[in-house]
Order: sequence, then C-alpha cells, then structure tokens
Amino acid sequence: MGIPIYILEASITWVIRRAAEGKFVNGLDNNKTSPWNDIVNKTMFNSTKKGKYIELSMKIKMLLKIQNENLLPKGGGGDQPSLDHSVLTLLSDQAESKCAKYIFKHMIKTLKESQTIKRTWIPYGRLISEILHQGGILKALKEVNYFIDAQLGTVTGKIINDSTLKHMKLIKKEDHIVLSIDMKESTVISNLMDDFPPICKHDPLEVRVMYMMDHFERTGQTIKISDIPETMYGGALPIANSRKCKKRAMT
Amino acid sequence: MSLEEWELNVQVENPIDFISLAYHGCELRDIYQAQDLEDYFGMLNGPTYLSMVRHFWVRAQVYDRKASQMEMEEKVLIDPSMQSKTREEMGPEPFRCT
Repeated sequence: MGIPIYILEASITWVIRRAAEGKFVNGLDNNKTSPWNDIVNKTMFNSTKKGKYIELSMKIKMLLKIQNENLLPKGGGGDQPSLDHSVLTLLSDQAESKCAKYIFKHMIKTLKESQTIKRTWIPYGRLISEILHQGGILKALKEVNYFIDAQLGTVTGKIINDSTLKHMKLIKKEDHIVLSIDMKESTVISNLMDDFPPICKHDPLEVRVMYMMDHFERTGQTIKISDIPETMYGGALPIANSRKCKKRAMT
Repeated sequence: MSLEEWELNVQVENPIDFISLAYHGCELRDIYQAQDLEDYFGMLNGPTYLSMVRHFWVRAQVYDRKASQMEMEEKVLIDPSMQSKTREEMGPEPFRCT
C-alpha cells in the first residue's frame, strides 16, 4: 500500500513553471550521419567538422555543463557531448525549446535503463523531490510528524558559480573573486519543517518549558510537545556528491 | 535480480549563481531568459529528499502506449467478451498521450 504518483509531461511543465510550447526534435542519435551534425558543429565549434571540447568557448562550455547537470543529466564527464546535448545547447541560443518534453523523455529513458540493464543512477533528484512535494507527500509526512530531514536524506545541490569557473580552468586563479552577494547553500529551506521552534527534544526540560512559556506570553500561541523536533533543525543542508557511478558496486 | 534502494545514486541538480558567473565574464542570463527557464533554475535551489527519490525510483513503472496496449490485450485474454469494447468501456484509465 502506498500513495500513487503519476508523472506526466504536463507535471514537469507545471513544476518548472514554464509554457509547454517550444521546438522539439525527436530521434536524435549520436551517429556520424545525423543531419544535425553540420548545424551543431557550426554553432558549437564554428566549423564544418566536429571539434574537440578544448576548442569550445567559455560560454558554450558552461552551457554544456549546465545541461549535463540540470537539463539532460549525463551522470559522467561532460567533455564528450552527445548529439542530444549539443542540440539543446544549439536550441538554447535560438528558438525556444520544449524543455519539459526533453526532460520527460530523458527521465523515461533512464528509468527503462534502470529496469533493463540495472543502471544504478537516478537523474533529476531535485525535480522528482519537487514533484513529490507538490503532490502532497511531504505534507502527509509532516502531518504524522515522524520523519526528519536526516531520515529523508535531505541534501542540496552544489552551486555552479565562480568557483566552478576556476575549477574548470575557465578563469585564472588570481581573477577569482568571491562576492558578498554570492548565492549560499544556507538559503535553502527544507519543505519538511517550514515553521519550527528553535528548540529540540535534546534540550533540557527546563529550557523547553521556559521557551514554551515565553512563546505563549509573546504570541498567545501554544507549542505542543509533539511539535518539538527530535533534533535541532537549522543551517545549511548537506551538499550532494557530484560524482555518480552508473554501475552496481562490486560485492 | 532487481535493484535495491541502497544501490542507487541520485544525481542532484546544481543551482546556478548567474550573477557570480556574469561578474566573471560568463553572462548566460539572456539565454535562459529567452528560454523562459528562470523559474526552473530558481526551483533548483531547494532540498532533495534522496531516500524518497530512491523509494520512488525502484517502484516506478513506465506506462506508455505499448504498456496500455498490453493491458488491453490481457483483459481480452481473461474475458474474450471485451474484444469489441473500447478502452473506456474496459475499465482502465484512459491513456493520456504525453
């Protein structure tokens, strides 16, 4: 017994809050005879022949990195772009592409690979989490007040920023400047606990009672014992590992 | 042998700090604004529930045109009188093309 979840292309369109329209090219294969090769080579490498990753401009390298991580996750290295990935880069620069359809098709393809060739890699962790959240699963878990972030394995993705440019050697080390307005992981908020008291069950009983009395005097609202979390929640969530193995571990 | 939840590796999308990239000479905002993907990238800056995603993935099934057709054929095998009926009359939910 469980809660049925249906993911349609429309669900993805809804979650990414984007219109469903756009250009979609189906049946792309990473082969030498594809009619797209010339256009891709022209756009990415500014040449009639397929070039090397090192010849790509900084902008194209970053577009490719963002696609490999977010739009059509590859799970491996990004220095050998497939035609699918190249085409979306190309579309990014021209007509509006039907991203939800690309994402949906890629998700289905990966799921089928998991079931047929036992691939152990799941793409779109954040997107699936958001679909489950918007589908009411988190709300149901919150109501039973049993799960905490540690049990759900809550993590956040690593931010692509100036440090990424430095690691990819797209900027020099001395040109790397950390800005005060840089995005921080600590801005991420768990959906599980949107209104939590700054105490937990590990705090001494006197502290909990004092806080609850003080809270009642200030706001007129009562904090129930059951509302107090097991462990203290707050601060940044752990950051997910970026390297993902697609094959089963040897046992 | 089926996949176990603990074996699965979840790839979590990376939020993007477009301001930081633009400051260092890599301006990409106009491209994604033209694609209307700002909300998508905004959504990425949020929590991922690894256990829940793994739990979902090992139980997920693809329900496409082929699966829909097989379901109907199965129903006819069980009850041959279903042969002349439409999908809606047979009972399963209507197939919504994606």
